[in-house]
Amino acid sequence: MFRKLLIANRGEVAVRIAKAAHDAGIATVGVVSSADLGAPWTEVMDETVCIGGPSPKESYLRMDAVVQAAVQTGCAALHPGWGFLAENARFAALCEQNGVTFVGPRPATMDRMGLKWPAKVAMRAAGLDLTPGSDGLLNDVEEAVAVAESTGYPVILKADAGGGGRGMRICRSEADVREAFPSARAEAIAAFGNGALFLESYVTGGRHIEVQVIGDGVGGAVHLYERECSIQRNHQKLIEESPSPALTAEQREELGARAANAAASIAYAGAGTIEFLADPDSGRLSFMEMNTRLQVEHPVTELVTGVDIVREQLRIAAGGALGFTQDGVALEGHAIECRINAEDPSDGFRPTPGTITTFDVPHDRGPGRVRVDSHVTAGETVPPYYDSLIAKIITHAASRDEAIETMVRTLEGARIEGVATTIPLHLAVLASDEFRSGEYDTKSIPGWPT
Amino acid sequence: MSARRERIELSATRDGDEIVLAAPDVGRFTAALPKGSALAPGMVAGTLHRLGRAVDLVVPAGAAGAVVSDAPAAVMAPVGFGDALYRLDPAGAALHAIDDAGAGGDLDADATVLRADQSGRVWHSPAPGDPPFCGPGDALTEGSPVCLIEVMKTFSTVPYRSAGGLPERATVVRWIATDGADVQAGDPLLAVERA
Amino acid sequence: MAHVPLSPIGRPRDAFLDEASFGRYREAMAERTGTLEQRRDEIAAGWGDKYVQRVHQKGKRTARERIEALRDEGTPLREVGTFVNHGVSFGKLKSPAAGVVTAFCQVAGRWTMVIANDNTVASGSWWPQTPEKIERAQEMALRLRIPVVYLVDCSGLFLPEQSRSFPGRTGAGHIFKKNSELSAHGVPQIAGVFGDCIAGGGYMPIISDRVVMTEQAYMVIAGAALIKGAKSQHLSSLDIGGPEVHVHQSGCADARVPDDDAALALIRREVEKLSTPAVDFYRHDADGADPFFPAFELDGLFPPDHRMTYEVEEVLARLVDRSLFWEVLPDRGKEMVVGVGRVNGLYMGFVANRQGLIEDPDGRDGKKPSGILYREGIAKVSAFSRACNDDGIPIVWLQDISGFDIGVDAERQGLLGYGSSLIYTNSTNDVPMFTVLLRKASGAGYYAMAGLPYEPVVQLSTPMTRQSVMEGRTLAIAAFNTKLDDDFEIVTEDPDERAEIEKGMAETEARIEGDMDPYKAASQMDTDEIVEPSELRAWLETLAEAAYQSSGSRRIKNPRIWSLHDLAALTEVRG
Repeated sequence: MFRKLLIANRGEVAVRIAKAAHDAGIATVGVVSSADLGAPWTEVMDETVCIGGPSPKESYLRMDAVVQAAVQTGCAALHPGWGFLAENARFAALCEQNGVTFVGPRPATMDRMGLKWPAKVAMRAAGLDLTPGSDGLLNDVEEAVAVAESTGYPVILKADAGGGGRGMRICRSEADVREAFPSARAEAIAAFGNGALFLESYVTGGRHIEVQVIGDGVGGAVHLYERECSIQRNHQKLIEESPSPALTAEQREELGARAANAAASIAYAGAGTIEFLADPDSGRLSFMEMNTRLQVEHPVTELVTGVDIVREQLRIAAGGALGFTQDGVALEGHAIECRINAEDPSDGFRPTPGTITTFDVPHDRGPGRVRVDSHVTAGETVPPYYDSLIAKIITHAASRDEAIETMVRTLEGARIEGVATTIPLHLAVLASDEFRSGEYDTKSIPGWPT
Repeated sequence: MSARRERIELSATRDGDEIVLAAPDVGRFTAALPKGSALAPGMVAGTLHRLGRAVDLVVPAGAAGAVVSDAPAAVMAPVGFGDALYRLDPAGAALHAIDDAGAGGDLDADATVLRADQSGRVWHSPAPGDPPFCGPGDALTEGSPVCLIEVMKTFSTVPYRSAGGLPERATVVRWIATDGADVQAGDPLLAVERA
Repeated sequence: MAHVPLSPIGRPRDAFLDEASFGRYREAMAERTGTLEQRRDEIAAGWGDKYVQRVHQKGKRTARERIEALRDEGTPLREVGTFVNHGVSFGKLKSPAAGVVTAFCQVAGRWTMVIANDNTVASGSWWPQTPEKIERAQEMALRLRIPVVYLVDCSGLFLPEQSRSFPGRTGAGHIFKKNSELSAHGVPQIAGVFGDCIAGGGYMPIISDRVVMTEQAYMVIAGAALIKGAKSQHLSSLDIGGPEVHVHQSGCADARVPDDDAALALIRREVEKLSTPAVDFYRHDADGADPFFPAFELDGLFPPDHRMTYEVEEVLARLVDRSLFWEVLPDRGKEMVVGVGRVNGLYMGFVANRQGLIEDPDGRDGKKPSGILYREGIAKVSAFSRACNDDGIPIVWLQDISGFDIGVDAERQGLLGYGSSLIYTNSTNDVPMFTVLLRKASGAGYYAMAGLPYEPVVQLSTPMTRQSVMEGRTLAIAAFNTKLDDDFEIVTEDPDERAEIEKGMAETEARIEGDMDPYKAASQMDTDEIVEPSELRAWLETLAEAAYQSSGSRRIKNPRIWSLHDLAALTEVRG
């Protein structure tokens, strides 16, 4: 196992990774921006190196500075966490090139899964369903119209290359397609030098269900069942749970096995998440994308399976085999996670940076147990430069009802003062009939008026 | 055209009577000047190695004085952003230029003038008869072409750079160097203001 | 230090080149690449549909159709020598591509050099320069140790021009010497004979390790037309030298097959039996990846006016994997950039000319123009070239150079000597070298940077390449030197004489400009191929893979033991 690990992230995830590293006997080096220099959470690191100014592009996003910090502190490996550089294949390649093992999949896997069509092709070949649409890239507008007619409107045209919404068009009629096709193509050519487009059915609503997988990099992979992430606001997940209330036991086993098989087929290395969209009408699960990193919501999976996902990531990065087989993975009970953000839900979710005067989350409000993943302590200032996540509260109990009950009691007992938080939102959702019954989707936030 | 070694300015702050020059980046610090050296703005005071590259560290405007701190013991000392590399006993007059706001403070009195970084003949348009690259009221951002400079029948495009205190987004106020004028390195080309 | 410390290079295009300039540059380049594409299409059409139909009527495929059938699906074909004989007429006849297609072609996952007589151009006969084009392709394969596939369908020399293609040092017979050299060096050769193969042509296939003949193929020292009594005995050339004779009686061929398709399938199977490509092994556990800054932007980075500058780092950023590059000796000889990057995962050395002004502590204003070789730059390039050769890192030379520094100081510094050292280094290197003439390739700079006379494995030009001893203006000055003063202004005050000198200088300049046309160079085989700047990255991928395909045929050091690290360590700034 590595002797020393650089954690290329900040806040909650940096603390989470440091914990796994210490448990495995690995020394840690944290990189920090000047805004985070000396923050209480950095004390969990054995060493810290300041790599630049407060804004992410001056520090956490500077790949050469991060790798230089790893090199000059003698780190053997680097964990990118999530966000920032976590899915940047160029960064992963730069680490490897300079002798620092990147804790994550191979850069080429990240490339492939980062490109829309290649990812879909690979996953379709591995047996996953895709959203109905064109069978590959479109030759011309007539083909686009024909495909749109057969899938039904609305449809979305997407550029094969690049991202950022460029070359993307939602079309609600044939006239839309005819108008959008040339402009989307021109936009894609201008931006990426590649005007290839594909088209798929544009689904609104539906449920977001994702499967946690872990691969050994040489063709072995296991799954750790699914997470239900349909409680979202502007595509930001708020509450996640495992298992999903939408799947039967049989569907669950089948989905997990297919996802593990898909990960194995690309010789996936480390932890990854395969995201599916459950069609609002048919319930059919189609592949959306694969995230090639640790997810924010990984703790719910850890609680129901007992697997330390970060520990497994480190084990595989160091050339080890999987620590267990699929047969060794059992799903026990139910877990729910609420993301506590420093945002004011009563004021349009305005971020509320500032100093946290009180931070107290009870751990003893049973029937289930409570895990709090946070980097925050009382007296800490939430800087305005980064995302607003200050804590994740995860409850685990024998049943879904008990897990909800534990969460409600814990949130009611929590005292976080100095900044506004999203706790009122969570309580409203948890009290709603839709959430209680498990009948919810990504379209609206149950219990919360829009 | 940055054909010389990349340079970045040390950041200067005042600490009591002394000036502290801090590392502007993470890396290995080398070629440190010894205790007692006299530093003046524009001087190269060491080199920072970052991956396969070396960057020269330049003393910023307004920071001058004698080094009173010891050079690091190691030849290739690992440093972080903001680590103090030199403490200076300021040489009288230079001191006032550093305000208490410290690093990032406006150390450049000519922040609103874009200067030529090479000598040559200035051309406002990409080719004779073409409209000029920019004129009063036009917006400039990082990389916007400003003019051509001709030296020995070679034409280089001068891009707008926000370095040296110029704003990231600027508006052209007026041309200072006329079309076809001969300029020396450091001569003003263009007056701009923050957009 | 065993790591190859690549670091990020380049910036997003809009950070150094505004939209309007990029658009203008791209438009100007599009005009040139449009011409290039149009000419490629014309050449690919051979003598046209009529001749394609004739081939089809015989139940045969055209040369290009054969290559299509041979090549792995979805892989690129990299033709070399496309423009040989372009614009040249022999009587009323033209010889598109000199009547032979030579190309890097991937077969069964291996890069091969395919040499295919174009049976739509005078039945695949050999024109002046056809032998030289074939020999050049053989030479490329020999240097890279990649298999050669001959698709033979050749009625012999184009006889009206035989004196220009038969007797000389590189006349047709030299092809067979090259066949022999390839064989002597263990480079596999496979030949398919699809039709005529007369006289000297008969030797081309049979030195090959495998020879397959279709039922329409024959190989003869002399055809029926020259055999006494052939007519009365109703003997055809096929009777004299067809598969019946050569496969079964003489043993000059190995296999007979009914038709073209069967022959091509058999050749593919033979290539499959060759040793597995070592390319992936030499990636040293990395994967190939595209440049982070896209290669398509290369078409818009070069100002159309060759006197205008650009940033060569941005060109490099669009050629190497993930735009990661290790610049070696960055502080010395700054008119040159030398360093290492990966191309499709494979390490390649790069030598490129900086443009614009560079620091010169001794010079006026402390600046001097680059695109010129000075003493330190020459020394740096020599040392880098030697190190790459020693380490087995193929070298890509990216030329945009006006020549050597001149003047009293330059001579006193001994630039002739430093230049000779570089010439010696490049002349004796055995690592594969690839030369790209991005724009200017002038004077001794063209030689010093491994121009064609120094036998790079392949030399590519772009549609804006200008090869010359000197630029037109300079040559005009030299030619009219006696009439000019110190500032190169015309001395005489006599208006008539002035006008005459001005006219003469303008004419000289115009003639030289015309001669710098890259198509003219390619037609004369002064460069191997003309490619679009945005195609360069893809070309380098092919060349890199070809250079690393054969294990055991050349020294390829692992990066731990590169001498390049020594150079870097010894010049690191330490203080």
